[in-house]
Amino acid sequence: MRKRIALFLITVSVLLLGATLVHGDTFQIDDTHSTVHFHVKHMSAGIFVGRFDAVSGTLDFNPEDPTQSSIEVTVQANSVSTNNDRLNGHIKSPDFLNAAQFPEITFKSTSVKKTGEDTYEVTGDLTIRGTTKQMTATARHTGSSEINRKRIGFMTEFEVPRREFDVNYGKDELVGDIVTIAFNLEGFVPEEE
Amino acid sequence: MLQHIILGIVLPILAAAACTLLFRALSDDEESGLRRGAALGLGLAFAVGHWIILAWPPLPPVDSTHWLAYLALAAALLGLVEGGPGLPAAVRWGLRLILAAGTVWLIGKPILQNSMDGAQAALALVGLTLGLLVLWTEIDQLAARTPGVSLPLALTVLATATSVALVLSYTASLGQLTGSLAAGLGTLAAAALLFSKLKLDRGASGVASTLLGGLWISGYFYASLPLYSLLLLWLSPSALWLAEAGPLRDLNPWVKAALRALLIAIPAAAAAYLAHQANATPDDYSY
Repeated sequence: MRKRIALFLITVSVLLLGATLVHGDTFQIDDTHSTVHFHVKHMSAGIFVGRFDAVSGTLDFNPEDPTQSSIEVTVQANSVSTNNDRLNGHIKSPDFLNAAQFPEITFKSTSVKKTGEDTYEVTGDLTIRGTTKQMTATARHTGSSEINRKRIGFMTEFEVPRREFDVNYGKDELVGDIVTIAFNLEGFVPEEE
Repeated sequence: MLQHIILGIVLPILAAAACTLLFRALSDDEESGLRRGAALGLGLAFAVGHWIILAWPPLPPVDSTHWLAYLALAAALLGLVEGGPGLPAAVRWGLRLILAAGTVWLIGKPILQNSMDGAQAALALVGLTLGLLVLWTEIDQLAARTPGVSLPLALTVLATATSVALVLSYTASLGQLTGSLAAGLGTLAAAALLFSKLKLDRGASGVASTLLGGLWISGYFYASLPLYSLLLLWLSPSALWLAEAGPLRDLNPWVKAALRALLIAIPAAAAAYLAHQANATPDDYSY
């Protein structure tokens, strides 16, 4: 009887260990070492670049079964930074983001597929200015490390047609319709308390 | 951009002019026809401007400031009803209260719900609704006292100053929308030169006060319109009462129109200046 119980416990332990190994890690987005920036054509001439300073969220990464991976990112619209206070105010205003009414820009993945050695097709719901649209982009795994604590990096870019998100200010000749939003994310596994 | 601005001015002028003339032509009662045509024309002028500048919003709009397009139409419809005969005062005031409270709630809802506690939100809702009703009544009373060009001209000055203040508060789109309203009011001023019986009371007064109040609230809640500018703009029509006092009351109509324009221009320009000062930064930037 004791042998059976021992065998049962060993089996359960092995299964639990296996499940733990197969299950991915949950990484917290490191807001210091992650950036979200955007660029858009301005006056049909140059490419204007801005960034958001406040980024948070989680990355669930399962290298054994990437379809079990997921990502949730929240960007504070009020943290937009262009190195020009007047322009920051304009982008926060109802002309563009209306940050007072819509304080957060979010992305929540709905599916992840591995497409190459370090690349993944990520599909999910992007919400800007209260409007949610399904978007798909290629995410690249930029690296992993165990320095200090377990870390992982991903980058991806979304081509966002701004008018579909009710950002209608100005003609396309003034501010291009397609805004590229680039997520350069680094996540770490928080220390257990 | 320039084409956008021109269309946002020219088409509202055409809409306001066409409505006023059409209602004047179709109505047996000249005064009632002009009153209703002016109300519908002003509402349509703003709605057309919204369509040109920001596209026509879905119903319900995602962005609360886009309710202004529908509020313009609602105020214009109320003007059509008010401008006709036989509406009991209690019903008129009930409808005005609903539109004023609806304007404050629909535009301010995200801030009232998310940035204030229950008591603060209730106080703000009641205070702004009362403020809007006072503004409406004030413009209505002034319009009823003096037909002709002077009040639409004074309101054109106020809308123009509001437009400048909003642009200086980082929101060109709300500034342009106010430009469409100013274009509609300017058209009514021009129409008043042709039709001496044109009056804004019980009609266009409601459209003007609903839209001006809605734009001021939008600028304060969602852009960077300072509180002092908001208060000055809101109180500026009160300055028009000075032209009704003592010997000024009997001035030549042209002199009185100029005086009214000047009286409202002073606080309105001060509001725009304060918006400029509050938002001034060392950074140079043009849209």
